[in-house]
Amino acid sequence: MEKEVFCILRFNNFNRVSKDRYHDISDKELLQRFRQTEDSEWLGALLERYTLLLFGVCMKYLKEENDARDCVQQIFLKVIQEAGRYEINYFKSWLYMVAKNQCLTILRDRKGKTPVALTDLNAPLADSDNSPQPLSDEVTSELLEAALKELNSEQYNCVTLFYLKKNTYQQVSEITGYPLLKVKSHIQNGKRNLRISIQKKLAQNATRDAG
Amino acid sequence: MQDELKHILSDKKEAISREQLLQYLNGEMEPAEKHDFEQKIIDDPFEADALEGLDELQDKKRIELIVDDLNRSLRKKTAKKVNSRKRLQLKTPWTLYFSAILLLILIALIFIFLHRQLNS
Repeated sequence: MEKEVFCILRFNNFNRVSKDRYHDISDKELLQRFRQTEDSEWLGALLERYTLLLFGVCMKYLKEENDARDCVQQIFLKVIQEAGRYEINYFKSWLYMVAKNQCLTILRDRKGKTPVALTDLNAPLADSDNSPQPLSDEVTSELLEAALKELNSEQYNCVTLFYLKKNTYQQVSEITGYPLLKVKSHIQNGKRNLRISIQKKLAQNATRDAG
Repeated sequence: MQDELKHILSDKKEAISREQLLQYLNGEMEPAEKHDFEQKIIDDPFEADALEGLDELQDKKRIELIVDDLNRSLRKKTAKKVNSRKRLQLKTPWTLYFSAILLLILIALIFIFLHRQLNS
Protein backbone atom coordinates (compact mmCIF):
# COMPACT_ATOMS: atom_id res chain seq x y z
CA MET A 1 0.00 0.00 0.00
CA GLU A 2 2.70 2.43 0.98
CA LYS A 3 4.56 1.63 -2.16
CA GLU A 4 1.52 2.44 -4.22
CA VAL A 5 1.18 5.82 -2.59
CA PHE A 6 4.82 6.45 -3.24
CA CYS A 7 4.33 5.60 -6.89
CA ILE A 8 1.45 8.01 -7.16
CA LEU A 9 3.57 10.75 -5.70
CA ARG A 10 6.44 10.00 -8.02
CA PHE A 11 4.18 10.05 -11.01
CA ASN A 12 2.88 13.42 -9.92
CA ASN A 13 6.32 14.84 -9.67
CA PHE A 14 7.07 13.64 -13.13
CA ASN A 15 3.91 15.22 -14.42
CA ARG A 16 4.77 18.50 -12.83
CA VAL A 17 8.22 18.44 -14.29
CA SER A 18 6.88 18.30 -17.80
CA LYS A 19 4.75 21.35 -17.12
CA ASP A 20 7.37 23.47 -15.40
CA ARG A 21 10.13 24.17 -17.87
CA TYR A 22 12.57 25.30 -15.21
CA HIS A 23 11.63 22.90 -12.44
CA ASP A 24 15.22 22.55 -11.25
CA ILE A 25 15.68 26.28 -10.73
CA SER A 26 14.56 27.79 -7.44
CA ASP A 27 12.27 30.81 -7.16
CA LYS A 28 15.14 32.89 -5.93
CA GLU A 29 17.38 31.93 -8.82
CA LEU A 30 14.68 32.69 -11.40
CA LEU A 31 14.09 36.10 -9.87
CA GLN A 32 17.79 36.81 -9.92
CA ARG A 33 18.06 35.85 -13.57
CA PHE A 34 15.19 38.18 -14.35
CA ARG A 35 16.96 41.03 -12.59
CA GLN A 36 20.25 40.39 -14.31
CA THR A 37 18.95 39.92 -17.84
CA GLU A 38 15.76 42.01 -17.60
CA ASP A 39 14.21 39.25 -19.66
CA SER A 40 10.66 38.89 -18.38
CA GLU A 41 10.46 35.32 -19.61
CA TRP A 42 12.23 34.28 -16.40
CA LEU A 43 9.61 36.10 -14.41
CA GLY A 44 6.91 34.40 -16.48
CA ALA A 45 8.32 30.98 -15.67
CA LEU A 46 8.30 31.90 -12.00
CA LEU A 47 4.74 33.23 -12.09
CA GLU A 48 3.46 30.13 -13.85
CA ARG A 49 4.24 28.15 -10.73
CA TYR A 50 1.71 30.19 -8.84
CA THR A 51 -1.09 30.61 -11.37
CA LEU A 52 -3.28 28.00 -9.72
CA LEU A 53 -2.79 29.46 -6.26
CA LEU A 54 -3.40 32.99 -7.53
CA PHE A 55 -6.62 31.93 -9.20
CA GLY A 56 -7.69 30.22 -5.97
CA VAL A 57 -7.03 33.31 -3.86
CA CYS A 58 -8.93 35.50 -6.33
CA MET A 59 -11.82 33.02 -6.28
CA LYS A 60 -11.91 33.16 -2.51
CA TYR A 61 -12.30 36.90 -2.38
CA LEU A 62 -14.18 37.68 -5.59
CA LYS A 63 -16.36 34.55 -5.81
CA GLU A 64 -16.92 34.98 -9.57
CA GLU A 65 -14.90 32.95 -12.04
CA ASN A 66 -14.60 35.71 -14.63
CA ASP A 67 -13.71 38.34 -12.07
CA ALA A 68 -11.09 36.01 -10.64
CA ARG A 69 -9.59 35.43 -14.10
CA ASP A 70 -9.38 39.17 -14.76
CA CYS A 71 -7.86 39.69 -11.36
CA VAL A 72 -5.13 37.10 -12.01
CA GLN A 73 -4.28 38.88 -15.28
CA GLN A 74 -4.03 42.18 -13.42
CA ILE A 75 -1.76 40.59 -10.84
CA PHE A 76 0.48 39.27 -13.64
CA LEU A 77 0.79 42.75 -15.12
CA LYS A 78 1.46 44.28 -11.75
CA VAL A 79 4.19 41.78 -10.96
CA ILE A 80 5.82 42.25 -14.38
CA GLN A 81 5.85 46.00 -13.81
CA GLU A 82 6.96 45.99 -10.20
CA ALA A 83 9.12 42.95 -9.59
CA GLY A 84 12.20 44.77 -10.84
CA ARG A 85 11.70 47.72 -8.55
CA TYR A 86 11.63 46.09 -5.15
CA GLU A 87 14.03 44.04 -3.14
CA ILE A 88 12.12 40.77 -2.84
CA ASN A 89 13.45 38.28 -0.34
CA TYR A 90 10.75 35.70 -0.46
CA PHE A 91 8.82 35.75 -3.72
CA LYS A 92 5.92 33.60 -2.61
CA SER A 93 4.84 35.78 0.30
CA TRP A 94 5.43 38.95 -1.70
CA LEU A 95 3.18 37.57 -4.45
CA TYR A 96 0.52 36.63 -1.90
CA MET A 97 0.54 40.21 -0.63
CA VAL A 98 0.24 41.62 -4.16
CA ALA A 99 -2.65 39.24 -4.86
CA LYS A 100 -4.54 40.16 -1.72
CA ASN A 101 -4.08 43.87 -2.37
CA GLN A 102 -5.38 43.47 -5.90
CA CYS A 103 -8.46 41.61 -4.66
CA LEU A 104 -9.01 44.32 -2.06
CA THR A 105 -8.81 47.05 -4.71
CA ILE A 106 -11.39 45.27 -6.85
CA LEU A 107 -13.66 44.72 -3.87
CA ARG A 108 -13.40 48.40 -2.99
CA ASP A 109 -14.38 49.40 -6.52
CA ARG A 110 -17.27 46.99 -6.32
CA LYS A 111 -18.35 48.21 -2.92
CA GLY A 112 -20.67 50.83 -4.36
CA LYS A 113 -22.75 48.10 -5.96
CA THR A 114 -22.80 45.35 -3.35
CA PRO A 115 -21.77 45.32 0.27
CA VAL A 116 -18.77 43.12 1.01
CA ALA A 117 -17.19 41.78 4.13
CA LEU A 118 -13.50 42.58 4.26
CA THR A 119 -12.74 40.99 7.59
CA ASP A 120 -10.67 38.23 6.09
CA LEU A 121 -8.39 40.62 4.28
CA ASN A 122 -7.55 42.40 7.51
CA ALA A 123 -6.06 39.27 8.95
CA PRO A 124 -2.36 39.71 9.67
CA LEU A 125 -0.15 38.62 6.85
CA ALA A 126 2.12 35.75 7.67
CA ASP A 127 5.51 36.30 6.13
CA SER A 128 7.47 33.13 5.87
CA ASP A 129 10.64 35.07 6.55
CA ASN A 130 9.34 35.64 10.04
CA SER A 131 8.14 32.10 10.46
CA PRO A 132 8.44 31.00 14.07
CA GLN A 133 11.72 29.56 15.17
CA PRO A 134 11.74 25.81 15.47
CA LEU A 135 11.28 24.94 19.07
CA SER A 136 14.34 23.72 20.89
CA ASP A 137 14.84 20.49 22.75
CA GLU A 138 13.83 22.28 25.92
CA VAL A 139 10.24 21.69 24.93
CA THR A 140 9.33 18.53 26.77
CA SER A 141 6.17 16.58 26.14
CA GLU A 142 4.99 17.50 29.67
CA LEU A 143 5.25 21.14 28.70
CA LEU A 144 3.35 20.47 25.50
CA GLU A 145 0.64 18.54 27.25
CA ALA A 146 0.20 21.26 29.85
CA ALA A 147 -0.05 23.88 27.10
CA LEU A 148 -2.49 21.74 25.18
CA LYS A 149 -4.79 21.52 28.19
CA GLU A 150 -4.87 25.31 28.44
CA LEU A 151 -6.62 25.60 25.08
CA ASN A 152 -10.35 26.14 25.07
CA SER A 153 -12.40 23.02 24.51
CA GLU A 154 -13.16 23.64 20.83
CA GLN A 155 -9.52 24.23 19.95
CA TYR A 156 -8.39 21.34 22.15
CA ASN A 157 -10.80 18.95 20.45
CA CYS A 158 -9.94 20.02 16.94
CA VAL A 159 -6.17 20.08 17.51
CA THR A 160 -6.05 16.64 19.12
CA LEU A 161 -8.37 15.08 16.56
CA PHE A 162 -6.36 16.56 13.71
CA TYR A 163 -2.76 16.25 14.84
CA LEU A 164 -2.83 13.32 17.23
CA LYS A 165 -5.62 11.17 15.84
CA LYS A 166 -4.69 12.16 12.29
CA ASN A 167 -8.20 12.82 11.05
CA THR A 168 -8.97 14.93 8.01
CA TYR A 169 -10.85 18.24 8.29
CA GLN A 170 -13.95 16.47 7.07
CA GLN A 171 -13.67 13.77 9.71
CA VAL A 172 -13.01 16.28 12.48
CA SER A 173 -16.05 18.21 11.35
CA GLU A 174 -18.18 15.06 11.41
CA ILE A 175 -16.97 14.01 14.87
CA THR A 176 -17.31 17.42 16.52
CA GLY A 177 -20.28 18.71 14.57
CA TYR A 178 -18.51 22.01 13.83
CA PRO A 179 -18.71 23.33 10.26
CA LEU A 180 -15.62 22.77 8.10
CA LEU A 181 -14.43 26.37 8.11
CA LYS A 182 -14.75 26.54 11.90
CA VAL A 183 -12.66 23.37 12.20
CA LYS A 184 -9.92 24.95 10.11
CA SER A 185 -9.82 28.12 12.14
CA HIS A 186 -9.92 26.21 15.45
CA ILE A 187 -6.91 24.18 14.36
CA GLN A 188 -5.01 27.24 13.14
CA ASN A 189 -5.80 29.33 16.21
CA GLY A 190 -5.20 26.40 18.52
CA LYS A 191 -1.77 25.88 17.06
CA ARG A 192 -0.93 29.55 17.39
CA ASN A 193 -2.09 29.65 21.02
CA LEU A 194 -0.13 26.52 21.75
CA ARG A 195 3.02 28.11 20.45
CA ILE A 196 2.47 31.30 22.42
CA SER A 197 1.78 29.47 25.64
CA ILE A 198 4.86 27.28 25.23
CA GLN A 199 7.06 30.29 24.61
CA LYS A 200 5.64 31.86 27.77
CA LYS A 201 6.34 28.72 29.78
CA LEU A 202 9.88 28.54 28.45
CA ALA A 203 10.48 32.16 29.38
CA GLN A 204 9.13 31.48 32.87
CA ASN A 205 11.39 28.48 33.25
CA ALA A 206 14.36 30.52 32.10
CA THR A 207 13.77 33.28 34.66
CA ARG A 208 13.20 30.70 37.40
CA ASP A 209 16.45 28.95 36.56
CA ALA A 210 18.28 32.27 36.50
CA GLY A 211 16.78 33.24 39.88
CA MET B 1 2.26 9.79 21.47
CA GLN B 2 5.16 11.97 22.59
CA ASP B 3 6.55 12.30 19.12
CA GLU B 4 3.15 13.12 17.81
CA LEU B 5 2.79 15.89 20.36
CA LYS B 6 5.96 17.53 19.13
CA HIS B 7 4.68 17.08 15.65
CA ILE B 8 2.02 19.70 16.25
CA LEU B 9 4.57 22.46 16.37
CA SER B 10 6.77 21.45 13.51
CA ASP B 11 6.35 23.51 10.40
CA LYS B 12 6.35 21.30 7.36
CA LYS B 13 7.56 23.59 4.64
CA GLU B 14 7.14 21.22 1.75
CA ALA B 15 5.95 22.56 -1.54
CA ILE B 16 2.73 21.07 -2.80
CA SER B 17 2.27 20.31 -6.46
CA ARG B 18 -0.52 21.36 -8.74
CA GLU B 19 -1.52 17.72 -9.20
CA GLN B 20 -1.74 17.10 -5.48
CA LEU B 21 -3.97 20.11 -5.08
CA LEU B 22 -6.25 18.97 -7.88
CA GLN B 23 -6.39 15.44 -6.50
CA TYR B 24 -7.40 16.81 -3.13
CA LEU B 25 -10.10 19.00 -4.63
CA ASN B 26 -11.48 16.14 -6.69
CA GLY B 27 -11.67 13.96 -3.59
CA GLU B 28 -9.25 11.44 -5.06
CA MET B 29 -7.19 11.03 -1.90
CA GLU B 30 -7.23 8.39 0.80
CA PRO B 31 -7.99 9.78 4.29
CA ALA B 32 -4.35 9.37 5.40
CA GLU B 33 -3.08 11.19 2.32
CA LYS B 34 -5.72 13.82 2.83
CA HIS B 35 -4.61 14.40 6.37
CA ASP B 36 -0.96 14.76 5.36
CA PHE B 37 -1.91 17.22 2.68
CA GLU B 38 -4.05 19.28 5.04
CA GLN B 39 -1.26 19.36 7.56
CA LYS B 40 1.11 20.65 4.89
CA ILE B 41 -1.04 23.55 3.82
CA ILE B 42 -2.43 24.64 7.18
CA ASP B 43 0.59 26.81 7.95
CA ASP B 44 0.68 28.46 4.55
CA PRO B 45 -2.00 31.14 4.27
CA PHE B 46 -1.44 31.46 0.51
CA GLU B 47 -2.16 27.79 -0.11
CA ALA B 48 -4.98 27.62 2.44
CA ASP B 49 -6.70 30.64 0.85
CA ALA B 50 -6.28 29.22 -2.63
CA LEU B 51 -7.78 25.89 -1.63
CA GLU B 52 -10.76 27.62 -0.08
CA GLY B 53 -11.31 29.63 -3.24
CA LEU B 54 -10.90 26.72 -5.63
CA ASP B 55 -13.36 24.73 -3.57
CA GLU B 56 -16.03 27.28 -4.46
CA LEU B 57 -15.84 26.37 -8.12
CA GLN B 58 -18.60 23.89 -8.91
CA ASP B 59 -16.95 22.24 -11.88
CA LYS B 60 -13.48 21.22 -10.73
CA LYS B 61 -12.60 19.91 -14.18
CA ARG B 62 -12.50 23.49 -15.42
CA ILE B 63 -9.69 24.47 -13.08
CA GLU B 64 -6.96 22.99 -15.25
CA LEU B 65 -8.40 24.59 -18.37
CA ILE B 66 -8.56 27.98 -16.69
CA VAL B 67 -5.01 27.72 -15.39
CA ASP B 68 -3.65 26.67 -18.78
CA ASP B 69 -5.51 29.55 -20.36
CA LEU B 70 -4.05 32.02 -17.88
CA ASN B 71 -0.57 30.62 -18.39
CA ARG B 72 -0.88 31.00 -22.13
CA SER B 73 -1.75 34.66 -21.81
CA LEU B 74 1.06 35.09 -19.29
CA ARG B 75 3.54 33.71 -21.82
CA LYS B 76 2.31 36.21 -24.35
CA LYS B 77 2.77 39.02 -21.88
CA THR B 78 6.28 38.05 -20.92
CA ALA B 79 7.43 37.25 -24.46
CA LYS B 80 6.25 40.52 -25.96
CA LYS B 81 8.95 42.68 -24.47
CA VAL B 82 11.75 40.52 -25.75
CA ASN B 83 10.30 40.48 -29.25
CA SER B 84 9.93 44.22 -29.50
CA ARG B 85 13.46 44.64 -28.29
CA LYS B 86 14.72 42.20 -30.90
CA ARG B 87 12.83 43.99 -33.62
CA LEU B 88 14.34 47.30 -32.56
CA GLN B 89 17.84 45.90 -32.52
CA LEU B 90 17.70 44.10 -35.85
CA LYS B 91 15.36 45.88 -38.21
CA THR B 92 15.39 49.58 -37.46
CA PRO B 93 18.98 50.38 -38.49
CA TRP B 94 18.61 48.68 -41.88
CA THR B 95 15.40 50.45 -42.85
CA LEU B 96 16.96 53.69 -41.69
CA TYR B 97 20.11 53.21 -43.80
CA PHE B 98 18.13 52.12 -46.78
CA SER B 99 15.78 55.11 -46.77
CA ALA B 100 18.68 57.50 -46.19
CA ILE B 101 20.54 56.17 -49.23
CA LEU B 102 17.37 56.27 -51.29
CA LEU B 103 16.83 59.89 -50.31
CA LEU B 104 20.40 60.83 -51.20
CA ILE B 105 20.10 59.21 -54.64
CA LEU B 106 16.83 61.02 -55.22
CA ILE B 107 18.33 64.39 -54.30
CA ALA B 108 21.33 63.72 -56.53
CA LEU B 109 19.07 62.81 -59.45
CA ILE B 110 16.97 65.93 -59.02
CA PHE B 111 20.11 68.03 -58.78
CA ILE B 112 21.53 66.54 -61.98
CA PHE B 113 18.21 66.93 -63.75
CA LEU B 114 17.87 70.58 -62.77
CA HIS B 115 21.51 71.28 -63.60
CA ARG B 116 21.11 69.89 -67.09
CA GLN B 117 17.92 71.80 -67.72
CA LEU B 118 19.50 75.07 -66.59
CA ASN B 119 22.60 74.46 -68.73
CA SER B 120 20.60 73.70 -71.84
